[in-house]
Amino acid sequence: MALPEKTEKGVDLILTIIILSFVIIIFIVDGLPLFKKKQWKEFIVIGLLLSTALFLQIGKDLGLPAPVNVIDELIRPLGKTILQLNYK
Amino acid sequence: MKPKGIISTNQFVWMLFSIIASFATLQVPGLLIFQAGRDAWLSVACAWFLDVLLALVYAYMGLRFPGQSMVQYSITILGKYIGKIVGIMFPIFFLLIGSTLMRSLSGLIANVFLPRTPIAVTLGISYLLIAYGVHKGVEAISRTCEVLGPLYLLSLVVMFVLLIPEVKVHRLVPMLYKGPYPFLSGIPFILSFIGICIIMGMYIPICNKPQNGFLAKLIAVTLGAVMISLIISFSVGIFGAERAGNMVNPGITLARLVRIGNFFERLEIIWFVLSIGAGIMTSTNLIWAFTLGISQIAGLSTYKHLVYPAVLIAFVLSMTSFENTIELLNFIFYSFMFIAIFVETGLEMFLFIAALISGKRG
Repeated sequence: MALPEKTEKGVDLILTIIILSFVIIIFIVDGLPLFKKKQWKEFIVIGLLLSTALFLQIGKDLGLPAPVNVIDELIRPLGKTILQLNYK
Repeated sequence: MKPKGIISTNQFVWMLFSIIASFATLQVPGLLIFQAGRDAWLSVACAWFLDVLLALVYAYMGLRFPGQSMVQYSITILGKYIGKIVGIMFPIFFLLIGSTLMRSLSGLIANVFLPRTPIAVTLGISYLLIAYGVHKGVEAISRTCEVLGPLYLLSLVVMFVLLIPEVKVHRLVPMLYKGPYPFLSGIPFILSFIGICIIMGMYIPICNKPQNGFLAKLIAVTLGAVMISLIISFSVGIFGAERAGNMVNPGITLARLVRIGNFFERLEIIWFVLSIGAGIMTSTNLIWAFTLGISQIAGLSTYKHLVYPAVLIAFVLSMTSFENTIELLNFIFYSFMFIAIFVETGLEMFLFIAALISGKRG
Protein backbone atom coordinates (compact mmCIF):
# COMPACT_ATOMS: atom_id res chain seq x y z
CA MET A 1 0.00 0.00 0.00
CA ALA A 2 1.37 3.41 -0.96
CA LEU A 3 1.79 5.90 1.87
CA PRO A 4 -0.45 8.98 1.75
CA GLU A 5 1.17 12.08 0.27
CA LYS A 6 3.00 14.49 2.57
CA THR A 7 0.26 17.11 2.37
CA GLU A 8 -1.86 18.41 5.20
CA LYS A 9 -4.59 15.89 4.37
CA GLY A 10 -2.04 13.11 4.02
CA VAL A 11 -0.59 13.90 7.45
CA ASP A 12 -4.11 13.97 8.94
CA LEU A 13 -4.83 10.56 7.37
CA ILE A 14 -1.65 9.06 8.80
CA LEU A 15 -2.59 10.49 12.20
CA THR A 16 -6.08 8.98 11.92
CA ILE A 17 -4.58 5.57 11.12
CA ILE A 18 -2.28 5.89 14.16
CA ILE A 19 -5.18 6.91 16.42
CA LEU A 20 -7.32 4.04 15.08
CA SER A 21 -4.50 1.58 15.79
CA PHE A 22 -4.19 2.90 19.36
CA VAL A 23 -7.97 2.65 19.84
CA ILE A 24 -7.88 -0.99 18.74
CA ILE A 25 -4.84 -1.79 20.92
CA ILE A 26 -6.33 -0.13 24.02
CA PHE A 27 -9.66 -1.86 23.37
CA ILE A 28 -7.98 -5.26 23.15
CA VAL A 29 -5.64 -4.74 26.12
CA ASP A 30 -7.97 -2.83 28.48
CA GLY A 31 -11.51 -3.35 27.19
CA LEU A 32 -11.78 -7.05 26.31
CA PRO A 33 -10.66 -8.37 29.75
CA LEU A 34 -13.42 -6.22 31.29
CA PHE A 35 -15.93 -7.70 28.85
CA LYS A 36 -14.85 -11.21 29.84
CA LYS A 37 -15.13 -10.35 33.55
CA LYS A 38 -18.58 -8.83 32.87
CA GLN A 39 -17.53 -5.47 34.34
CA TRP A 40 -20.06 -3.67 32.18
CA LYS A 41 -19.75 -0.18 33.65
CA GLU A 42 -15.98 -0.06 33.10
CA PHE A 43 -16.39 -1.56 29.64
CA ILE A 44 -18.99 1.03 28.60
CA VAL A 45 -16.96 3.98 29.92
CA ILE A 46 -13.83 2.79 28.11
CA GLY A 47 -15.88 2.31 24.93
CA LEU A 48 -17.33 5.82 25.24
CA LEU A 49 -13.92 7.42 25.81
CA LEU A 50 -12.31 5.56 22.91
CA SER A 51 -15.15 6.35 20.54
CA THR A 52 -14.96 10.04 21.57
CA ALA A 53 -11.26 10.09 20.68
CA LEU A 54 -11.94 8.41 17.35
CA PHE A 55 -14.93 10.64 16.59
CA LEU A 56 -12.90 13.80 17.28
CA GLN A 57 -10.11 12.67 14.97
CA ILE A 58 -12.40 11.50 12.14
CA GLY A 59 -14.49 14.66 12.56
CA LYS A 60 -11.35 16.69 11.99
CA ASP A 61 -10.66 14.75 8.77
CA LEU A 62 -14.21 15.39 7.59
CA GLY A 63 -13.82 19.11 8.26
CA LEU A 64 -16.02 19.26 11.37
CA PRO A 65 -14.96 21.86 13.92
CA ALA A 66 -13.44 20.61 17.18
CA PRO A 67 -15.57 21.24 20.32
CA VAL A 68 -13.01 23.77 21.56
CA ASN A 69 -13.34 25.73 18.30
CA VAL A 70 -17.13 25.83 18.61
CA ILE A 71 -16.94 27.19 22.18
CA ASP A 72 -14.19 29.58 21.10
CA GLU A 73 -16.31 30.99 18.25
CA LEU A 74 -19.25 31.51 20.60
CA ILE A 75 -17.32 33.24 23.36
CA ARG A 76 -14.66 35.17 21.46
CA PRO A 77 -16.80 38.25 20.66
CA LEU A 78 -17.47 38.71 24.36
CA GLY A 79 -13.77 38.34 25.14
CA LYS A 80 -12.87 40.93 22.52
CA THR A 81 -15.43 43.34 23.93
CA ILE A 82 -14.16 43.00 27.47
CA LEU A 83 -10.46 43.12 26.63
CA GLN A 84 -11.09 45.92 24.10
CA LEU A 85 -8.50 44.45 21.81
CA ASN A 86 -8.42 42.91 18.39
CA TYR A 87 -5.45 41.28 16.74
CA LYS A 88 -6.93 41.61 13.23
CA MET B 1 -14.97 5.21 44.12
CA LYS B 2 -12.61 6.40 46.83
CA PRO B 3 -9.08 7.30 45.71
CA LYS B 4 -6.57 5.11 47.49
CA GLY B 5 -3.42 7.25 47.53
CA ILE B 6 -2.51 9.47 50.44
CA ILE B 7 -0.47 12.65 50.07
CA SER B 8 1.15 14.85 52.70
CA THR B 9 0.56 18.58 53.08
CA ASN B 10 4.07 19.23 51.79
CA GLN B 11 3.35 17.25 48.62
CA PHE B 12 0.01 19.05 48.29
CA VAL B 13 1.87 22.39 48.28
CA TRP B 14 4.41 21.35 45.64
CA MET B 15 1.76 19.82 43.39
CA LEU B 16 -0.21 23.05 43.40
CA PHE B 17 2.94 25.14 43.01
CA SER B 18 3.98 23.12 39.92
CA ILE B 19 0.53 23.69 38.44
CA ILE B 20 0.53 27.45 38.97
CA ALA B 21 4.17 28.09 38.13
CA SER B 22 4.19 25.94 34.98
CA PHE B 23 2.05 28.60 33.31
CA ALA B 24 4.75 31.17 34.06
CA THR B 25 6.96 29.55 31.42
CA LEU B 26 4.26 29.62 28.78
CA GLN B 27 2.62 32.46 26.88
CA VAL B 28 0.51 33.67 29.82
CA PRO B 29 2.82 36.39 31.25
CA GLY B 30 3.39 37.84 27.76
CA LEU B 31 -0.35 38.00 27.07
CA LEU B 32 -0.97 39.60 30.46
CA ILE B 33 1.68 42.27 29.81
CA PHE B 34 0.11 42.81 26.38
CA GLN B 35 -3.23 43.48 28.08
CA ALA B 36 -2.23 45.29 31.28
CA GLY B 37 1.14 46.78 30.32
CA ARG B 38 3.50 47.66 33.16
CA ASP B 39 0.63 47.26 35.67
CA ALA B 40 0.36 43.53 34.92
CA TRP B 41 1.84 42.64 38.32
CA LEU B 42 -1.12 44.47 39.93
CA SER B 43 -3.49 42.13 38.07
CA VAL B 44 -1.57 39.15 39.51
CA ALA B 45 -1.77 40.61 43.03
CA CYS B 46 -5.55 41.14 42.79
CA ALA B 47 -6.05 37.70 41.20
CA TRP B 48 -4.03 36.19 44.07
CA PHE B 49 -6.37 37.81 46.60
CA LEU B 50 -9.50 36.59 44.79
CA ASP B 51 -8.02 33.12 44.45
CA VAL B 52 -7.32 32.95 48.18
CA LEU B 53 -10.98 33.85 48.83
CA LEU B 54 -11.99 31.09 46.42
CA ALA B 55 -9.66 28.68 48.22
CA LEU B 56 -11.60 29.34 51.44
CA VAL B 57 -14.76 28.03 49.75
CA TYR B 58 -13.00 24.93 48.37
CA ALA B 59 -11.35 24.21 51.73
CA TYR B 60 -14.67 24.66 53.56
CA MET B 61 -16.47 22.35 51.14
CA GLY B 62 -13.67 19.79 51.49
CA LEU B 63 -14.20 19.77 55.25
CA ARG B 64 -18.00 19.87 55.05
CA PHE B 65 -17.95 16.78 52.84
CA PRO B 66 -15.04 14.78 54.30
CA GLY B 67 -13.53 12.19 51.99
CA GLN B 68 -15.40 13.54 48.97
CA SER B 69 -13.99 15.33 45.95
CA MET B 70 -15.92 18.16 44.28
CA VAL B 71 -17.28 15.66 41.76
CA GLN B 72 -18.66 13.49 44.56
CA TYR B 73 -20.13 16.28 46.66
CA SER B 74 -21.87 17.76 43.65
CA ILE B 75 -23.78 14.45 43.46
CA THR B 76 -24.42 14.51 47.23
CA ILE B 77 -25.76 18.08 47.05
CA LEU B 78 -27.71 18.08 43.80
CA GLY B 79 -28.81 14.47 43.54
CA LYS B 80 -27.95 11.69 41.15
CA TYR B 81 -28.83 13.27 37.81
CA ILE B 82 -28.26 17.05 38.10
CA GLY B 83 -25.29 16.36 40.38
CA LYS B 84 -23.66 14.21 37.72
CA ILE B 85 -24.25 16.82 35.02
CA VAL B 86 -22.65 19.53 37.18
CA GLY B 87 -19.95 17.19 38.51
CA ILE B 88 -18.77 16.02 35.08
CA MET B 89 -17.92 19.60 34.12
CA PHE B 90 -14.95 19.59 36.52
CA PRO B 91 -13.15 16.58 34.94
CA ILE B 92 -13.93 17.83 31.43
CA PHE B 93 -12.44 21.18 32.40
CA PHE B 94 -9.29 19.44 33.66
CA LEU B 95 -9.03 17.54 30.38
CA LEU B 96 -9.40 20.76 28.42
CA ILE B 97 -6.64 22.48 30.39
CA GLY B 98 -4.37 19.43 30.28
CA SER B 99 -4.63 19.12 26.50
CA THR B 100 -4.30 22.88 25.90
CA LEU B 101 -1.28 23.07 28.21
CA MET B 102 0.46 20.22 26.40
CA ARG B 103 -0.30 21.78 23.00
CA SER B 104 1.11 25.05 24.26
CA LEU B 105 4.21 23.40 25.70
CA SER B 106 4.86 21.37 22.53
CA GLY B 107 4.50 24.53 20.46
CA LEU B 108 7.07 26.16 22.68
CA ILE B 109 9.49 23.24 22.35
CA ALA B 110 8.99 23.30 18.58
CA ASN B 111 9.58 27.06 18.40
CA VAL B 112 12.58 27.21 20.67
CA PHE B 113 14.49 23.94 20.42
CA LEU B 114 13.09 21.43 17.92
CA PRO B 115 11.81 23.42 14.93
CA ARG B 116 12.02 20.48 12.49
CA THR B 117 10.33 17.90 14.69
CA PRO B 118 6.58 17.46 14.04
CA ILE B 119 4.48 18.57 16.96
CA ALA B 120 2.72 15.17 17.00
CA VAL B 121 6.03 13.51 17.93
CA THR B 122 6.72 15.90 20.83
CA LEU B 123 3.13 15.54 22.01
CA GLY B 124 3.15 11.76 21.64
CA ILE B 125 6.28 11.35 23.75
CA SER B 126 4.94 13.75 26.39
CA TYR B 127 1.64 11.88 26.58
CA LEU B 128 3.46 8.56 26.98
CA LEU B 129 5.18 10.02 30.05
CA ILE B 130 1.86 11.37 31.29
CA ALA B 131 0.14 8.00 30.85
CA TYR B 132 2.97 6.32 32.78
CA GLY B 133 2.65 8.87 35.60
CA VAL B 134 -1.13 8.68 35.86
CA HIS B 135 -1.02 4.89 35.81
CA LYS B 136 1.48 4.90 38.69
CA GLY B 137 -1.04 6.81 40.80
CA VAL B 138 -1.25 10.03 42.74
CA GLU B 139 1.40 9.03 45.29
CA ALA B 140 4.03 8.68 42.57
CA ILE B 141 2.90 11.97 41.00
CA SER B 142 3.08 13.77 44.35
CA ARG B 143 6.55 12.41 45.11
CA THR B 144 7.79 13.57 41.72
CA CYS B 145 6.29 17.03 42.29
CA GLU B 146 7.92 17.12 45.74
CA VAL B 147 11.31 16.72 44.05
CA LEU B 148 10.66 18.79 40.96
CA GLY B 149 8.79 21.69 42.61
CA PRO B 150 11.64 22.93 44.85
CA LEU B 151 14.13 22.55 41.97
CA TYR B 152 11.89 24.60 39.72
CA LEU B 153 11.46 27.26 42.41
CA LEU B 154 15.22 27.34 42.94
CA SER B 155 15.86 27.71 39.21
CA LEU B 156 13.44 30.65 39.08
CA VAL B 157 15.03 32.32 42.12
CA VAL B 158 18.56 31.86 40.73
CA MET B 159 17.42 33.30 37.40
CA PHE B 160 15.94 36.37 39.10
CA VAL B 161 19.03 36.93 41.26
CA LEU B 162 21.34 36.76 38.24
CA LEU B 163 19.11 39.15 36.29
CA ILE B 164 18.84 41.87 38.95
CA PRO B 165 21.65 44.00 37.44
CA GLU B 166 19.79 44.14 34.11
CA VAL B 167 16.54 45.56 35.53
CA LYS B 168 15.76 49.25 34.96
CA VAL B 169 13.31 50.15 37.70
CA HIS B 170 12.15 53.32 35.94
CA ARG B 171 10.50 51.11 33.28
CA LEU B 172 8.01 49.91 35.89
CA VAL B 173 6.63 53.42 36.50
CA PRO B 174 4.39 55.41 36.17
CA MET B 175 1.68 53.11 37.43
CA LEU B 176 -1.90 53.30 36.11
CA TYR B 177 -0.70 55.54 33.27
CA LYS B 178 -3.57 54.36 31.03
CA GLY B 179 -6.11 54.27 33.86
CA PRO B 180 -7.28 51.27 35.85
CA TYR B 181 -9.04 49.40 32.99
CA PRO B 182 -6.02 47.53 31.57
CA PHE B 183 -5.03 46.01 34.88
CA LEU B 184 -8.65 45.41 35.95
CA SER B 185 -9.36 43.53 32.72
CA GLY B 186 -6.17 41.54 33.27
CA ILE B 187 -7.46 40.21 36.61
CA PRO B 188 -9.99 37.67 35.23
CA PHE B 189 -7.44 36.62 32.61
CA ILE B 190 -4.73 35.71 35.11
CA LEU B 191 -7.26 34.49 37.70
CA SER B 192 -8.41 31.87 35.22
CA PHE B 193 -4.87 30.41 35.21
CA ILE B 194 -4.08 30.77 38.91
CA GLY B 195 -7.54 29.34 39.61
CA ILE B 196 -6.61 26.02 37.99
CA CYS B 197 -5.54 24.97 41.46
CA ILE B 198 -9.23 24.29 42.14
CA ILE B 199 -7.80 20.84 41.59
CA MET B 200 -7.24 21.09 45.36
CA GLY B 201 -10.85 19.87 45.54
CA MET B 202 -9.55 16.52 44.26
CA TYR B 203 -6.52 16.54 46.61
CA ILE B 204 -8.27 17.38 49.89
CA PRO B 205 -9.95 13.94 50.24
CA ILE B 206 -6.60 12.19 49.79
CA CYS B 207 -4.54 14.54 51.97
CA ASN B 208 -3.45 13.04 55.29
CA LYS B 209 -4.52 16.29 56.99
CA PRO B 210 -7.56 17.64 55.10
CA GLN B 211 -7.79 20.60 57.50
CA ASN B 212 -4.48 21.85 56.03
CA GLY B 213 -6.03 22.19 52.56
CA PHE B 214 -6.40 25.96 52.80
CA LEU B 215 -2.91 26.46 54.22
CA ALA B 216 -1.39 24.33 51.44
CA LYS B 217 -3.23 26.25 48.78
CA LEU B 218 -2.31 29.60 50.40
CA ILE B 219 1.41 28.74 50.41
CA ALA B 220 1.36 27.34 46.87
CA VAL B 221 -0.66 30.14 45.34
CA THR B 222 1.44 32.80 47.10
CA LEU B 223 4.68 31.25 45.84
CA GLY B 224 3.21 30.83 42.36
CA ALA B 225 1.79 34.35 42.18
CA VAL B 226 5.08 35.84 43.39
CA MET B 227 6.97 33.94 40.69
CA ILE B 228 4.55 35.06 37.95
CA SER B 229 4.73 38.66 39.25
CA LEU B 230 8.52 38.52 39.24
CA ILE B 231 8.62 37.17 35.67
CA ILE B 232 6.30 40.01 34.63
CA SER B 233 8.19 42.72 36.56
CA PHE B 234 11.59 41.51 35.33
CA SER B 235 10.34 41.33 31.73
CA VAL B 236 8.94 44.86 31.92
CA GLY B 237 11.97 46.13 33.83
CA ILE B 238 14.43 44.69 31.32
CA PHE B 239 12.64 44.92 27.98
CA GLY B 240 9.99 47.57 28.61
CA ALA B 241 6.23 46.96 28.63
CA GLU B 242 5.69 47.25 24.87
CA ARG B 243 8.48 44.88 23.87
CA ALA B 244 7.69 42.36 26.62
CA GLY B 245 3.99 42.43 25.68
CA ASN B 246 4.82 41.49 22.11
CA MET B 247 7.02 38.56 23.11
CA VAL B 248 5.51 35.12 22.72
CA ASN B 249 7.38 33.93 25.76
CA PRO B 250 9.07 36.49 28.01
CA GLY B 251 10.18 33.78 30.48
CA ILE B 252 12.41 32.06 27.91
CA THR B 253 13.77 35.40 26.69
CA LEU B 254 14.66 36.31 30.28
CA ALA B 255 16.37 32.96 30.80
CA ARG B 256 18.44 33.56 27.67
CA LEU B 257 19.95 36.66 29.23
CA VAL B 258 21.36 34.70 32.14
CA ARG B 259 25.11 34.22 32.08
CA ILE B 260 27.77 33.69 34.69
CA GLY B 261 30.94 35.65 33.94
CA ASN B 262 31.82 35.56 30.26
CA PHE B 263 32.05 31.83 29.86
CA PHE B 264 28.82 30.18 31.17
CA GLU B 265 26.21 31.02 28.57
CA ARG B 266 23.02 29.45 27.15
CA LEU B 267 21.99 28.46 30.66
CA GLU B 268 18.33 28.75 29.73
CA ILE B 269 18.26 25.08 28.82
CA ILE B 270 18.55 24.11 32.52
CA TRP B 271 15.59 26.28 33.42
CA PHE B 272 13.66 25.16 30.36
CA VAL B 273 14.14 21.46 31.12
CA LEU B 274 12.81 22.01 34.64
CA SER B 275 9.88 24.04 33.36
CA ILE B 276 8.99 21.35 30.80
CA GLY B 277 9.12 18.85 33.68
CA ALA B 278 6.75 21.05 35.68
CA GLY B 279 4.46 21.38 32.65
CA ILE B 280 4.33 17.63 32.11
CA MET B 281 3.68 17.03 35.81
CA THR B 282 0.88 19.60 35.69
CA SER B 283 -0.71 17.81 32.78
CA THR B 284 -0.24 14.49 34.60
CA ASN B 285 -2.09 15.92 37.60
CA LEU B 286 -4.89 17.20 35.37
CA ILE B 287 -5.33 13.93 33.45
CA TRP B 288 -5.28 12.05 36.78
CA ALA B 289 -8.05 14.36 38.03
CA PHE B 290 -9.99 13.76 34.80
CA THR B 291 -9.79 9.96 35.03
CA LEU B 292 -10.61 9.98 38.74
CA GLY B 293 -13.52 12.37 38.22
CA ILE B 294 -15.00 10.32 35.38
CA SER B 295 -14.66 7.09 37.37
CA GLN B 296 -16.42 8.76 40.32
CA ILE B 297 -19.24 9.95 38.06
CA ALA B 298 -19.63 6.48 36.55
CA GLY B 299 -19.25 4.78 39.92
CA LEU B 300 -16.27 2.62 38.91
CA SER B 301 -14.10 0.71 41.36
CA THR B 302 -10.83 2.06 39.96
CA TYR B 303 -9.75 4.75 37.53
CA LYS B 304 -6.79 2.79 36.14
CA HIS B 305 -8.76 1.31 33.24
CA LEU B 306 -9.48 4.83 31.99
CA VAL B 307 -5.89 6.09 31.91
CA TYR B 308 -4.98 5.17 28.33
CA PRO B 309 -8.34 6.15 26.75
CA ALA B 310 -8.15 9.49 28.62
CA VAL B 311 -4.61 10.15 27.44
CA LEU B 312 -5.66 9.29 23.88
CA ILE B 313 -8.54 11.80 24.04
CA ALA B 314 -6.18 14.46 25.43
CA PHE B 315 -3.73 13.77 22.57
CA VAL B 316 -6.48 14.01 19.94
CA LEU B 317 -7.82 17.22 21.53
CA SER B 318 -4.31 18.72 21.52
CA MET B 319 -3.86 17.82 17.87
CA THR B 320 -7.28 18.74 16.52
CA SER B 321 -8.25 21.84 18.50
CA PHE B 322 -5.66 24.29 17.23
CA GLU B 323 -4.15 24.53 13.76
CA ASN B 324 -1.33 26.83 14.87
CA THR B 325 0.02 28.90 17.74
CA ILE B 326 -2.01 31.99 16.77
CA GLU B 327 -5.28 30.05 17.12
CA LEU B 328 -4.09 28.73 20.45
CA LEU B 329 -3.14 32.20 21.68
CA ASN B 330 -6.49 33.62 20.54
CA PHE B 331 -8.31 30.90 22.47
CA ILE B 332 -6.20 31.43 25.60
CA PHE B 333 -6.53 35.20 25.39
CA TYR B 334 -10.17 35.73 24.46
CA SER B 335 -12.17 32.65 25.40
CA PHE B 336 -10.43 30.57 28.05
CA MET B 337 -11.10 32.93 30.95
CA PHE B 338 -14.88 32.65 30.54
CA ILE B 339 -14.82 28.85 30.56
CA ALA B 340 -12.39 28.83 33.48
CA ILE B 341 -14.24 31.35 35.62
CA PHE B 342 -17.55 29.60 34.95
CA VAL B 343 -16.15 26.30 36.25
CA GLU B 344 -13.70 27.53 38.88
CA THR B 345 -15.92 30.15 40.49
CA GLY B 346 -19.47 29.80 39.15
CA LEU B 347 -19.99 26.07 39.64
CA GLU B 348 -18.28 25.92 43.02
CA MET B 349 -20.18 28.94 44.37
CA PHE B 350 -23.39 27.36 43.10
CA LEU B 351 -22.56 24.13 44.95
CA PHE B 352 -21.55 26.10 48.05
CA ILE B 353 -24.83 28.05 48.14
CA ALA B 354 -26.86 24.92 47.35
CA ALA B 355 -25.15 23.08 50.22
CA LEU B 356 -25.85 25.95 52.64
CA ILE B 357 -29.50 26.24 51.60
CA SER B 358 -30.19 22.50 51.61
CA GLY B 359 -28.15 22.01 54.79
CA LYS B 360 -26.53 18.88 53.35
CA ARG B 361 -23.31 17.55 54.83
CA GLY B 362 -21.02 14.68 53.98
